[in-house]
Amino acid sequence: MTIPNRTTFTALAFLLAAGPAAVAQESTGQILGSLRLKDGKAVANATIILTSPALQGQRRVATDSAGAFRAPLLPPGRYTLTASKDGFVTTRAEVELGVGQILRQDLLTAEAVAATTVEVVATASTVDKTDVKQSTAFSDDVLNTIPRTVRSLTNIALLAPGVTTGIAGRVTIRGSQTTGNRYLLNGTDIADNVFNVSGGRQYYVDDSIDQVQVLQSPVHARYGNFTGGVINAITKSGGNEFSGVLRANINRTDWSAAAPRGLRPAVAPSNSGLTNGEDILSRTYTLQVGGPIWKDRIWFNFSTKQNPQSATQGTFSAPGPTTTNSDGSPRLTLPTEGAAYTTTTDLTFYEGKLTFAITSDHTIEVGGSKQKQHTANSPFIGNSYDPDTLSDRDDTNEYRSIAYRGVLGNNLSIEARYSNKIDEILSGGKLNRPRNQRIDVLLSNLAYYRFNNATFSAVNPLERNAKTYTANVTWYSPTTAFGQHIVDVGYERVRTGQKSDNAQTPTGIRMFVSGINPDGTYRAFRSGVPSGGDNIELSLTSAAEATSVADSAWLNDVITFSPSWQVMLGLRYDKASATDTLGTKTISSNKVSPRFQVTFDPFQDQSWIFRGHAATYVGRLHDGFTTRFTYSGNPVREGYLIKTNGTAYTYDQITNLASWDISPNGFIYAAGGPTSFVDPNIKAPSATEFGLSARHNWKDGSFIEFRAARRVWKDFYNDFNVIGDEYAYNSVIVPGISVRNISTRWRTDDRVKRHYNNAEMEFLFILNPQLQFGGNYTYATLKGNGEGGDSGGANVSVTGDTLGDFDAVHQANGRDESYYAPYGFLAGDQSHKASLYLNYMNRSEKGTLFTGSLLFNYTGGGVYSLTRSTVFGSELQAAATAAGSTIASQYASFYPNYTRYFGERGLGRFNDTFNFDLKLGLEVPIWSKLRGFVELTVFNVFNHWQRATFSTSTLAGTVTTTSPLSGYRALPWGTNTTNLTGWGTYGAADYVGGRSVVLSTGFKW
Amino acid sequence: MKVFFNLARVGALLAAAASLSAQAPGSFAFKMGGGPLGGQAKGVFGNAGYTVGADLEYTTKFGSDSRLVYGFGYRYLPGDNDLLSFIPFSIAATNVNPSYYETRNRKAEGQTFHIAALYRQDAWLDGVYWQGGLRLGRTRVKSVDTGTRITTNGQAISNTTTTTPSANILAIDSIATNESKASTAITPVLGVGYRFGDKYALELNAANVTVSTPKVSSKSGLSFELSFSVTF
Repeated sequence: MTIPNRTTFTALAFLLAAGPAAVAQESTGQILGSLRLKDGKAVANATIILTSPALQGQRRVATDSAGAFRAPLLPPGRYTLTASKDGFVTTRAEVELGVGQILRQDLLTAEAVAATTVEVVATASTVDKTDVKQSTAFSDDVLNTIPRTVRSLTNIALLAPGVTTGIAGRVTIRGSQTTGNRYLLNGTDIADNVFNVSGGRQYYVDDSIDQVQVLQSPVHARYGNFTGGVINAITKSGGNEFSGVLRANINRTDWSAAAPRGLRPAVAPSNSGLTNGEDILSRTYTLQVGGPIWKDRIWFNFSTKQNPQSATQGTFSAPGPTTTNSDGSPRLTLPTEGAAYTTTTDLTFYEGKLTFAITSDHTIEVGGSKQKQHTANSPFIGNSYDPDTLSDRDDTNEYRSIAYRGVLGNNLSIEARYSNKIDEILSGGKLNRPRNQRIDVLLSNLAYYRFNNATFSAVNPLERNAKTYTANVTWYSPTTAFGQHIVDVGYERVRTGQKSDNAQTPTGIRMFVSGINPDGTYRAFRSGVPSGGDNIELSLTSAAEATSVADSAWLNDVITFSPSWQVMLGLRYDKASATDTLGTKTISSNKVSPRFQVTFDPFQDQSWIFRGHAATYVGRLHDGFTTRFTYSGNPVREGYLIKTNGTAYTYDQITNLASWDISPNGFIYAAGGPTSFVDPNIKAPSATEFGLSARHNWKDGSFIEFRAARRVWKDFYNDFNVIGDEYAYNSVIVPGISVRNISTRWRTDDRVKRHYNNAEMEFLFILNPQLQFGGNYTYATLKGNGEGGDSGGANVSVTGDTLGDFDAVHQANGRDESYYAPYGFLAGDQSHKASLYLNYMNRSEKGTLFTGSLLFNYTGGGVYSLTRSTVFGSELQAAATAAGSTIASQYASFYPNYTRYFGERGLGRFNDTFNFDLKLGLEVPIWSKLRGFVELTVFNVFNHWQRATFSTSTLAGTVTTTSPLSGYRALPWGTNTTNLTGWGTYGAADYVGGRSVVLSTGFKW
Repeated sequence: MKVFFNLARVGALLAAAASLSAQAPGSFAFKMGGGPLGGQAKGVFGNAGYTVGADLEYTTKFGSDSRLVYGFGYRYLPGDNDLLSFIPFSIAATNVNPSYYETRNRKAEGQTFHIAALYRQDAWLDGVYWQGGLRLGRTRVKSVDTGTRITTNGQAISNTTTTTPSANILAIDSIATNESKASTAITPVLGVGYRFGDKYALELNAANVTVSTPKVSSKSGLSFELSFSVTF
C-alpha cells in the first residue's frame, strides 16, 4: 500500500468510526451506498468504480433499480468511488475504510447538460447501520499519531472502551475472565494455548500492522469462541508502489524520572538502573517494506527485526565455605563457585505476505512469520555451581496462513481462511554429554544443588499450536416484501494442541542424593540423613499431543424492513471437544447461542441510530483447562529409595538403576499425571448480553455514541472436592503398588456468579481539517462470588474456585459462603476509565509533515479484599476420620487452609490515577518518495506522580487457629523509620505518572 | 432484568431527546469535563482534589443575545486512600483497660446527579459568553473503611505482630465497613464559554460543591470545571 500524501485528518477521521460495526475473523470491509439526483430520484444501472492503493485492480459494481450499490470484501484502505452513467455527471468521493467496517457513501449526480464533467462529492461517509458490531478500530494513521510506541494487541486494546486490566495484568473485555477473549491476526487465532492471551508482537513488526480492531460486542453470529471480546490485527499487504519504514526506537533509563520513595525510602525505585548509576540504552531496529511483484496482480509485504544482542551477567551459586554435605561431610568445591557467567540473547524475525489477485474479484493471500530467540548459557532455574548445568534455549514462534476471498456476482461473496500458529520451546539438558544424568545434591544449608546437566530436557520441544479453519458465504438479497436480507452462513474450526512431556531432565530421571565428595563421588542413603532418604524419580513421559477443538456453524440474517427499521437474527452452534495424549476423548459438549438486534433510524439518514440487542457468546474450553486432564506437561512420576547406604557411589554406580530399590519396598511417592477428573459433558462458559446504544453522526464524519450493556455469565467450570471421594493410583512402573488419593472433579457450576454492567461513550469530533478530538469513557461494575476458574495468577492458567471445595465441612463448622466466597467486586472491575486524545496533523506545501497527539488516560483504581488464610486441614482430617476414610491425614495437606474474607469481596479500592502522554512527529522529504522522520514520545508528559496503590499485606504466615477473636490482621508498622513496612505503607513501586521518553527515527518511502 | 429496563428507559429518554432536538426551536448539547476541587470538600476525599463529569443541556433563546439553559448532569468525585491511623510496632503501657488501637484506612468517593438552570449571555467578543445559575444536586458519598482494631489490657506490648489474642491483646477485629450517605443541595454556578466551529464550545465554570459523609458532616468547596461541549 502506498503512503498517501495526506495533509489533514479529513480522511483519517473516518477510520476511527467506531460503533456498531460487522463480522469476526475478518480482514476486509465493505462499502455501500446509493446514487441519486439532488431531488432524491434514484439513478439505476450506473457503474461505480472503486479504486484504492489497497486494492488490486478495480472493483466495478452497478447500481440497482433503487440506485443502491454494494462492494463487499474490500481490503481496508483509502478508496476513490467514481460513479458514471451516460447522460449524467460523473461524480467522485473518497472514503477511508477500516477493517470490519460497513461504510455508507451516498453519491449525488445530475443530468449532464454538456460534456460530462467530474464533480467531487464532499459529503462524508458513515458507518452503515447494517454494520451490527460494537467495536473500536485503530488505523495505521492513528497508531502512527497517538503516543504509543508498540502495537501489541493488549496495549492497543486498552485504549478502547470496556477494556480493563484483570488478573495478572491480562486484559478483560466487558468484564470477561482474562482467558475469555479471542486474539486474532488477519482473522485467525494466535492466542497462547495456556493462558489464551497474546500480545501478538512475536508474529509481526509494529509497522506491519495496518489496522487493529477491538470488538466489545460483535452481536453477529459469525463471532464466537469468546465470552469477553475479540482483538483482531490486520497486517499490510503491499501495493502497486513501493513503500516501507526503516525504524530505530531508542530509549535510556536516564530519560526516565525516578519515582518518589514514599514511606519506604529504602525500597529502590522501579527504574532501578538509575539507582545503580547505570544509564541503560535500549535499541530496536525494524524494517517493513511492501510493493508490487506484478502490478495489480501480486503484491508483497516483508518485515524484519534486527535487534542488538543482549547480554546479562549471572553468578554461579556459592554455598559458602562452611556449607557441607547434608550429612556434615566435606563437599566438592568447584573453582566456578561464585564465578560470573554471561547469558546472551539473539533474536531473528522475518515476516512475509503475498497477495495474489486472480481477478479483482478473487484474491488469494498467503502469509507467515517466524521469530526465533536463541539464549546461550541459560541458567534456567535452581541452584548450581557446576558450569555443565548451563544450556541453550530456543523460543520459536511461527505463523502461517492462507486465505481466499471471492465476489461471485452482485449478490454473493465467499471467504475461506486457514492458519497455523506454532510456538515451540526447546530448552534444557541434552543427551550425549560427558555426564547426561542431572543429579541434585542436598547440602547442609538444606538446598539442593544441581550437577552434570541442565534442568529440563532439550530432547523433545514443548509445542503449542493453534489451527483455525473458517469459511463463510454471504448473500445479499434484493428488496422483497419481507425486506432486504444479508444472509451469512459459515463454519469455523479452532483446533489447539499441546505437546509437552515436561521432562525435568534429559534422561527422564531425577536423582536426589545427600552429598558430593571432594573427589566427585556421591553420598546416598536409604535412611538416617536430613533428607530422610535419597531417591530416584522415574518419569513416564509423553510428548504426544493433547487437543481441544471448537467446531462452530452459524446462520445470520440482517433484515432491512424499511429505511427506519432493521432487525438482525442470528444463531450459532458451538461444539467443544478435547482429547488426551492417548487420543481418548475427554470432553464433548455443545451449545446454541442466539443473537438478536433491532435498529431504529428515526430520520432515515443515519444521523441518529438507536439499537437494542440480546446476544449469547459461548467461549472455548481452552488448552489451559483441557490439558489438566491429560499427561501433556504432566508426566506420572514415581519415587524410589536407594537400596543401601553408600558414601562413595561413583557416577556410573549412582546412575545404574540396579542401585535403586524399584519395588514396593522402595516406593515412597507418586506424583503428576491427571489427578483430576472431568465431566465429559462439561460446557464451555457463556455470557448473555443485553445492550442499548444511541449514535449520532454529523455530516462531517464526527460522531458520538452512547452504549449501555449488562452481561451475565453462565456455566463456569469449577472443581469439587468432597470428603470420601477418593481414587486408587496404581503404579505404572511396579505392578502391585496402589496408592489411595483424594479426587478432584470438574464440572459445570452455576453457583459461580459474574455480572457486568456498563455505560460507555465513544466519540470523534473533527474540530477542523488539522485537528480532531476523540476518545471514550466507560463506567462499569464487575461483581460476582468467584473468579470462576480464571487464571490463578502469573503462572497458573486455570484454578478452581473455592466454591465446591468441601462446602459441607464449612457448613458443619458454622460458616456460610460469606466467609469463603462472598459476593462483591471481582478482579478487573474498574468503575471509571477514559482515553481521550487530541490529534493534530499538518503537511506544508513542501511536503513536511508535522503531527502531534496528546493522550489523556484516566484509570480507575482496582479492588482488593480483606482476607486471611485460616486453618482448614485439621477440620478436613477430622471430617474424613469421622467418615471412615483410610487416608484422613492426607486431607490436612491436600487443603491446609482456606481464605476467609472480611466484608464483601473487593471491599477496598486503590486510587484512581490519570496522566497525559504526548507524541510529536516530523517527517521531512529527502528525495523523491524518501522521507526522513523523527518521533518523540513522552509518557506522562507532566511528570505528575500519583500514589496508586499501597501495601495490603496481612500478617505473614497462616493463622493457626480458627478463633473468631483472631480477625483480619493488618501488619503493624515497623520501628525502622527509614524503611517502614506494613499495611498502608507505600514505596516507589506504588506510584504511577513518572515521565519516560522514547525516540524513534528512520526513513519512510 | 431490572437493570435492562433501566437501560431501556435511558434509551427511550435519549430517543426522545433526539426527536426533540430535531423538532424544537432549542438545541441539545452534550458537555464533558472536569477540574480541580478545593476547600474543605477536598479533604473529605483524601485530598484527591478533582471532579470529572458530563451534562446533557437543552438551550432555548431568551432574547436576541441571551439563552436559557436547562441541564442534567453527573459528577464523579474520586477519593484517595487516607491512612487515618496505624498500630505501632510497640505500645507503651497506659494502664487503661481496655485500650484500643487501630490501623484504619478510609476511601471516600462521591457521585452527584444534578439538574441545572442557567442564564447565558453573549459577551462583547465574538463567540464568547458568560453564564450563571443554580444546580440542584443530590450527592451520595460512599465511605469505605478497612483495617484492624486491637483491644489491649493497657499493658506495654513490645511487638504487636501477633496473630492471635494473648495475655495483653484481648481481641483482634477487622475494620471492614462500607457506608454511604446522600445529601441534597442547591449550589450556584458561574462561568464563561467560547463557541467555535459550528457546534463546539469550551467552557470554564466555577461551582460550589457541598458534601457530607457518614463520618463527616457537611463540607463545602469550590470546583473549577473545564468542559468541552458539542451541540447536536
